[in-house]
Amino acid sequence: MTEPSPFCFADELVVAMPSLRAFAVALSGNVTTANDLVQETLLKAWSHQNLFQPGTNFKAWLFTILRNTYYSQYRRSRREVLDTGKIADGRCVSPNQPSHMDMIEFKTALQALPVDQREALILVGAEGYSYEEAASITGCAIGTVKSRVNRARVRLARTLEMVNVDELGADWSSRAVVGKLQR
Amino acid sequence: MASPARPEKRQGSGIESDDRAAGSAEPIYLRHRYHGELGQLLREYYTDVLDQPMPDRLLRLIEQFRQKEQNK
Repeated sequence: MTEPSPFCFADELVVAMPSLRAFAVALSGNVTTANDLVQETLLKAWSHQNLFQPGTNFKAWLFTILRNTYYSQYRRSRREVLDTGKIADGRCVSPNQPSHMDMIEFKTALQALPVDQREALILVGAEGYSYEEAASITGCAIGTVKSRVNRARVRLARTLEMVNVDELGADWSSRAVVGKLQR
Repeated sequence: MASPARPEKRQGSGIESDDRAAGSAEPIYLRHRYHGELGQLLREYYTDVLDQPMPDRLLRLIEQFRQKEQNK
């Protein structure tokens, strides 16, 4: 039986970096700010690595650091710049592809969401964290995360004029919410 | 430098209800719910950002960490 490989902090950071950066982009709406955020997160994680408890979710720990950094520094100092154009047009799809406009509209709508809803949607819908994990990362109640995710989805659907509820891929509670809105 | 591993894709076709987990000790998961158009856009958006190359300054920082670990 092979022994588990030793935890290498730098290697684990490398593995988590793309997700960290994607979360930072979604939070800040700006690539440069996102890179700054990730850099600060890496530095903080490195200098406080003794605080990480082996066996717990390393990436979630990093997400928490990044989120706290964003809220305590970047958002307060109003360095948040909605630069959806640069982010949106980065590498997503070729302008000749039919879905190009859809993606631009989606990114604009995503960045227009309140940041608490946006982060909840990204954590749960894109990163695949459970409500419980997302609640732990964001430091709020599970019900709050669920509410934020649902509100984000409904708002996106409205903005993108997705009338058909099925386009949401919604769970029962989301269908109920959208159903009320459509009456 | 080798491309860092990406998180596993969590695509699926099923819809899991919150209510199914109600009263259960099991964690409530939203995974696999986002299969509609909105979910597809969200995945495309996120995958694109994940796939973007890391800036040199972040890679250099990791390299510094590695050297410090080796020097321990």
